[in-house]
Amino acid sequence: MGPIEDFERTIQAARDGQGWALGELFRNLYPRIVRYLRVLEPSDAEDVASDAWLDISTGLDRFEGDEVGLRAWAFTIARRRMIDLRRRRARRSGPPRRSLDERARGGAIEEKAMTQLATQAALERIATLPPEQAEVVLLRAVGGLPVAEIAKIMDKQPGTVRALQQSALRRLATQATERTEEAITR
Amino acid sequence: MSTSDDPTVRPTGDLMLDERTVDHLLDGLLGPQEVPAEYVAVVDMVRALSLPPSPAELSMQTVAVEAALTELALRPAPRGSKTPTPASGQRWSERSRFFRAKVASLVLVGTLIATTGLAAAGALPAPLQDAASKVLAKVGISVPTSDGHPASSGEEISKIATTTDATGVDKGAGISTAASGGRSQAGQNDKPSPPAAHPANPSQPAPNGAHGKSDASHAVQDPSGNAHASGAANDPSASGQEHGKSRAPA
Repeated sequence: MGPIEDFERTIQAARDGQGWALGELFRNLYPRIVRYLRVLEPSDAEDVASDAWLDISTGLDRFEGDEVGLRAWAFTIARRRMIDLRRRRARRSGPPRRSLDERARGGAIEEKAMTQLATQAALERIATLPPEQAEVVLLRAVGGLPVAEIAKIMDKQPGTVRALQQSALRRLATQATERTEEAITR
Repeated sequence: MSTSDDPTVRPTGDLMLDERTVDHLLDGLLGPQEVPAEYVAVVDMVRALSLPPSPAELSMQTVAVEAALTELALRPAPRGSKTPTPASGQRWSERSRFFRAKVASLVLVGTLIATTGLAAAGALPAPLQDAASKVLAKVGISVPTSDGHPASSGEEISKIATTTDATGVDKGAGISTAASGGRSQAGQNDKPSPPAAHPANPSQPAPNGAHGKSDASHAVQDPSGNAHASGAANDPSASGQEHGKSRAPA
């Protein structure tokens, strides 16, 4: 997912309600947010992402910053929407959602159809991580955000975020090695 | 979270990457040949996470942009406006759900058409018949309620239609009388029905029949001579005791 061309002009045009600019922002932000949510909130990823998109597209007047700042702002909104959903769900005591492990094993058909196979496979691997590790990897790799921004979004110290990403990568490498060894011994 | 509380990872030092390598790996700046062998799959995975969006992932773009434009247009003027901001986040969610609901709606329409036929034939259980009568009346389709239900059941009517020795008008009149609880005068005045009431092709149902309306007089005038009282009497699904009641319009 590449950068936004002519960032300042695009942002200003989107604020002015020009469709092409909103389309550019959608293409750059929405798939990232959906991928992030598909791991962390698989049952309601599309709905939360659509709510976040409206918040983003209609709140651009409040945004100031560069492209990385825009992504950080967008993920902050998406994360708040996700937390709101979880709170509402907790108040309703709704039905239990699929766990991340269940998500990793299967995944809804429509979700698979929505994402390229390689991306889907990667998301399923990330979904096997503990939630905070998964979130850090997603915000780094999908969101394209630096540690400092992730620390703000997750309300953690940068050192904690670094530890989480180190643990996540090591776990993913361990899993990959184990899969390779299993494949060889078969 | 420290790595020590993670029982599945190997001890510190094993598979450990320096901070710079971790950053570059997660930024997608490292190729498979630039990392230890254990991390080759991780490099591929991270790259896959940031692949360009698929067409399917962008399929909602038009709706999303339109929804954003609508929201922006509905925003109140910055000063002096008392118009409340619309509930942000609701409209597009509703729209995206709308598309999913479309499929369900098509199924519903199919069910409605089938139900309308059964309701027009009086072949539904009484509570459903009353409900169908009310609902269909709102869309201009006249369907009897369960109150005016004749005594004859679809099964009885069907039996008459298939066992009677009468033919033509006489047969139709008998069926019509039974189906309407004696109210129908069909076939008793020796007048042929107007041509418009018949389909050009005898094998095709009359327009009324297409809407599932039961009209005994049509059955009487069936040019094939194979009289039938209503759709319900001929519908295998409507021939049971519970929902096989045939009715003529009042």
